[in-house]
Amino acid sequence: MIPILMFVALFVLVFAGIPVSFSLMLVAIAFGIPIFGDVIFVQLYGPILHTASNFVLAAIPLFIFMGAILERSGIARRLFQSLQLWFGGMPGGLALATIFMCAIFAAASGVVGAVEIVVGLMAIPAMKKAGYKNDLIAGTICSGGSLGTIIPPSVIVVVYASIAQLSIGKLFAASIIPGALMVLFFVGYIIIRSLRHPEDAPKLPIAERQIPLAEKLKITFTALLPPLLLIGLVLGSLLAGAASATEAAAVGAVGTLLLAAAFKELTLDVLKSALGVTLKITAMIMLIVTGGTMFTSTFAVNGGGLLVRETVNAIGLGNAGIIGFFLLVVFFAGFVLDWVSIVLIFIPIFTPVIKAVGIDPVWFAMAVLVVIQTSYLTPPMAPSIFYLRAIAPKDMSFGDMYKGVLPFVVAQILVLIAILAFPEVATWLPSILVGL
Amino acid sequence: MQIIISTIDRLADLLASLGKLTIFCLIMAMLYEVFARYILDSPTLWAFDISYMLNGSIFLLGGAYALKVDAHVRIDFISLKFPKRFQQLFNGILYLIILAPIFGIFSYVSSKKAIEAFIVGEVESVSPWAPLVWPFYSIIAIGLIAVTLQFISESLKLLAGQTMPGQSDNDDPEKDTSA
Repeated sequence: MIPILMFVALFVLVFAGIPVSFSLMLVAIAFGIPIFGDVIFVQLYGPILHTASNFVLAAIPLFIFMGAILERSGIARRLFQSLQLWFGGMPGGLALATIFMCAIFAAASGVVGAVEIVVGLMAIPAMKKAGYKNDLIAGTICSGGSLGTIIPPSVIVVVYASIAQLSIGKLFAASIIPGALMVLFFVGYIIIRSLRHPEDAPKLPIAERQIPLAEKLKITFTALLPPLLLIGLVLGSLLAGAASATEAAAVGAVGTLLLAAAFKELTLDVLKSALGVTLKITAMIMLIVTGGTMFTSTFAVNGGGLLVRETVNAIGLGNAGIIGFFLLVVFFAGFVLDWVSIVLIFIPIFTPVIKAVGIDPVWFAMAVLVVIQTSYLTPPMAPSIFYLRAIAPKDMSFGDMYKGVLPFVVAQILVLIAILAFPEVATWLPSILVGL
Repeated sequence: MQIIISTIDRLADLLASLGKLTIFCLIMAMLYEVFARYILDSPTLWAFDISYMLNGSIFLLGGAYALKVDAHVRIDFISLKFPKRFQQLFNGILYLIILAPIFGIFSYVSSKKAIEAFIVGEVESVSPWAPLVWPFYSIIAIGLIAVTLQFISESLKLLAGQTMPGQSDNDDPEKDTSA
């Protein structure tokens, strides 16, 4: 009973508007005192020290810094322009460019909603100007913003790996095919819809994309290839086992700095503001990690593990029941909690059960990451729509947004089904990449 | 009261500057390790320890700053419906009466650990490099003390009606952008 009360207390505090990290700590302390008495603070200093000395998490500030520099220098803007150039003539071209932009940027974001806002600010005015239907704009931006969990290298995966004690490289490798499938399904929907209803997604006027081939190649080589190479370099060195995630991220960060410098866009202001954002977001994420660790350790000593085992036994249905139950919990948690918090609160609780019954933890991780995304996108409690609201044009209604995200939710469910029905989607790549 | 607030805020900014510098050091240290391993063919002994210590330092040096610019994720779609003054009082009192004392105790625990580690010359036991741990423990303690003070500063601002929960300070240069 007490473990359930912990969750009730947590949600009361969270809904009262107290930052999630502090809510987690407060609940951990309140429910830890009856057990530990006055040594509770010595006990809970453990999670602070443990989080501060976690080697795996050191990749986080580096990935965030890389993203911040990409965003603050002109690299992101030029990348979007060159994608527009290539896809502008295709059906739904601008929407496709937006999805690819999000997929590339998903790589370097640590914060829920960040990709959506960064890309949305560039892409919404462009799509609006070209005459796109509001619901297609909304769906494209929200679904693109959801890619941050599954497209490697993602910060959420770093946190997941550190919590579940899995190899980062393995998780990144496992997420490549599901991530690619997801992008494929999104792109497929946009193309089919634009072919059937060209008026929903008009092509860019010829004048805007009719530029000489030489010019087009030049833009491609300067704006499109360098960021792609950078991300390829980071992922490649990691997957080849040549560098740890932290080292790969550092190489990526330096590469991004050099790239920005090559365009003479590395001003002191850009650098200062990128460092400021990195500091702020790293501290924020690490504090959630600390709070989450405190919460789950108190949850465990209050008999939480037993409760979870009893619950899955009561459901029956064997492993399918366990997986179904866990994924549902994640789905509902995603209506209110951000990605990092979900992973931190639930993965330590689920992992022992998953391992005990012999479910592949890497495969399960992929299913969880897709469900986190689906939950991020599913109305009526969709965080993605709350973020979109902040940057949406005035004439875009909630109805447009709800209607717009639904086809993309279907696409995500298809990816989830693919992972559940064909585990190889997640497990094949990690199995052939040696050295992980 | 303004003096207390501005002194504490200045401390947060000072630590934040050190934190930003630390991010830079982390990048350089990791880059050097890659260079040493592949070019010099002699990996460093210290890269592992240094990377987590620097990251932990970034976390704690940025803790007070993150609080100052209100970077922490809130689920505020319900709480925003309450009267403004209620939100200010609720968060301000919570910060002052509950969270500041909690972090105060954590500061005390961590300072004690740091002092003990200094006195006995404790070293990192699982590392071949075996660095002294008191400098790292001290940064944790300093960071936690700064967070404690920042809770007091933020609560004073909230109670005086100068800020709203969930709103960044006006002097935050990174306002409404994210990475």
